[in-house]
Amino acid sequence: VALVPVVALLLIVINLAIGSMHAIDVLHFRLFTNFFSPSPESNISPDQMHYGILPALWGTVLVVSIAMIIAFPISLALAVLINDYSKGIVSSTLRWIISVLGGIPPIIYALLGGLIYLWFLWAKVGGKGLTGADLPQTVPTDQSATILGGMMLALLVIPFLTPLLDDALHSVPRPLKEASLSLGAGRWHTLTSVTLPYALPGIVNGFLLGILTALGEAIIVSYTIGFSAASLPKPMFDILERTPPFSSTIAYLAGGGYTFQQIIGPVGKSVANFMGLMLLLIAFIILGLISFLQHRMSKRSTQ
Amino acid sequence: MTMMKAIAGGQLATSNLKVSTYKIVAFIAALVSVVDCVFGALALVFNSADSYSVPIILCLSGVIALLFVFARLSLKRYFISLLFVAALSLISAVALHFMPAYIQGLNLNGIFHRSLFGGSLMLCIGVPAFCYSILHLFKNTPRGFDISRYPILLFFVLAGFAAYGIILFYIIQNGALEFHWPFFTTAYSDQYKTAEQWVDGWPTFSNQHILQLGILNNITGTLMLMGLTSLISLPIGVSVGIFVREYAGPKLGGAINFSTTALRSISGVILAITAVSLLTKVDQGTFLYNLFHGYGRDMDGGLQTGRSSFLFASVFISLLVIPIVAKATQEGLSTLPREVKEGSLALGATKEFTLFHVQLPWSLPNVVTGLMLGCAEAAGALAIIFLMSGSGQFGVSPTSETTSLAYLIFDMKYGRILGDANVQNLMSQDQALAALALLVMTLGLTAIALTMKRQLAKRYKGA
Repeated sequence: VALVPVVALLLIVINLAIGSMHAIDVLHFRLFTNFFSPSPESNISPDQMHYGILPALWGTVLVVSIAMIIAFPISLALAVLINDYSKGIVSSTLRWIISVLGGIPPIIYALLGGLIYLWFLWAKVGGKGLTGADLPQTVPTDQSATILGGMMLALLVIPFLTPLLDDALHSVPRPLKEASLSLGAGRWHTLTSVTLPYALPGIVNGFLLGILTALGEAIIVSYTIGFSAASLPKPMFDILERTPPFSSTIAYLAGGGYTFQQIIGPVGKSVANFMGLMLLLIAFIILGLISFLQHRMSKRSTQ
Repeated sequence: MTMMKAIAGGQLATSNLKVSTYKIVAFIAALVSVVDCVFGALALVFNSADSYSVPIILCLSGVIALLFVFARLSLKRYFISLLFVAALSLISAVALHFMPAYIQGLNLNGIFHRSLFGGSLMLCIGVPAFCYSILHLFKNTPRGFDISRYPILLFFVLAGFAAYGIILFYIIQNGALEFHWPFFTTAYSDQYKTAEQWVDGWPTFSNQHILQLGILNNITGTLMLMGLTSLISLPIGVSVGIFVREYAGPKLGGAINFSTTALRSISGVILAITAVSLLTKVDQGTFLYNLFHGYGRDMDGGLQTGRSSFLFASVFISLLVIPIVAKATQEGLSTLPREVKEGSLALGATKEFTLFHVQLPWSLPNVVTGLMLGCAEAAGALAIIFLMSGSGQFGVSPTSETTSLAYLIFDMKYGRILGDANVQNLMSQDQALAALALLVMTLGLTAIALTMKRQLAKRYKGA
């Protein structure tokens, strides 16, 4: 029974690989060079559509980096506050609150994305990319910009990332900190020159796990950004355009839903599998990095 | 020594007035920079608060420049950083003053309002200005330096909590405004019932539309998902934890650990692809099809198959929950003092007996905590089931169509596109109430689990 996770993981990988064979057969390297245009409004048959993973790949990079840029400083500040700047009941209460916030389901953020958009983004940056006027009507377009997805994703990542960073800071030996303090360094100085450098591997570890979380989330990005982008954004870093990441494009293509069933042909489904495979590959690479880091850390602690 | 003190005292006496004004200026600078930060945040939220930004930044610039002068006079040192902040704020005030209300450029897809720049500039200047003025309030002592770095931490922390505060406030406020009790006690139903009437000795049939709006079936559906998921994931998760901890070698254990971590961290969408491809493989009309897709009876007694059954969905959700339970079990096993285990073994108990009578009872609370967290996860998990759930109006049982509160909220917002259009048309005004119900459920479970965990940690320490 203990082998269930291994078997399940293997089955998932095999299923994805078999599913993506068709796309690789049909599209070959065009998978990487094509732009993605499964516009539901166009009259071409499903299998004549262009499928390419490039916009989704770039969208993944954009969304994850926005989310981490917002989430990382906030989580680090929270972790420092919990660990070094508060004691006893305050610290444990803060820890508790943040862990409880981690229980907020993603659909809540997706639901509130529209509010944040109307309330903040629309007032600040109004424009073509935000209205979604030039986008097909069958895709939910009432609110969208890459940055909105990144912002909401950051809110999901923070409660996940903070305990990890907290652990990393907690693992710094107490004598080390106390030595620094007793030599006359202040709290801030101790933090920047002793605690943070020592905890760096742990912090990087938490950062990578946070990226992993941001990568996998599908609901928030689907409903704050959209399902699929036809092409790369015109200036590459235009985060006010809609560039959905892998996970939402997968959701769109795999759609067991009522509406998309007819629109997406077998090639599209297969491309979804291929994208899933890519996502899994990225996740495995990050997991490998993490285990390498942990190996390094355990080595250091035995020295 | 005494002479030095006397000299210092004499110097202080001559510059006593200067020192006190210096502190007062620093205090004023701190106040102004706090006001600046507050108005910066306001300008980021309300466009109309933008008009205050230029005067406040100018004021801040003046005060910081004054602080620079007084710091020079009383400490006999030039603080270039103060001058830098003052110059920066002066430049930004001038730039903001000549900036048009709307800015477009760089071929970007948007038109930026001036308040975006105003607010962020105010925050970027206000936080360092606050830091420096605190530093000078404490007369540049090491302790002052230490305290002066607090605002940086505080800024990020407040930003984070403000975001969650807004979200929770919005949902609680709107949920409370929409609150009506029958919403929780009626089950959603939107179907036609054939009513038989006898007219002139002949039976006539009329289609009666039975419409009930409520979330009772979604709540029971969520509970059903939670129950089934824990039923599946408890034995598997516990045995995975025990196996990795007690029996497996480093290689096998490492492989199992890696795959549980991977399962936890890969996207729910990938699981959803697998599930959907499995769903499309079974033929319609067979028993397996009904079992996978879920079936229920409508009001006329006709068989209705859905998109996927609770049993099917909870198998996939439990793939996400098993890692949580396994990790909790491992943690529980590792907190057992080594002496207790060895004592049991030394008294002649077999490994299995020790496992079932010593180690498992010890780690039971941990397992329960993990399971509760897993249940919260199952209640909130949508990435897997949003492609294969329904409104659940044909009854809730392990073999009927999946539904849950999370899916209901999704359906209320996007039903016209991806789900049941009627749900969105009829119930979309109750989004916040349903969200509140979901939030109470998941946050309640998480809070109870975490409180238990904390109490446990205390008890272990005491034991």
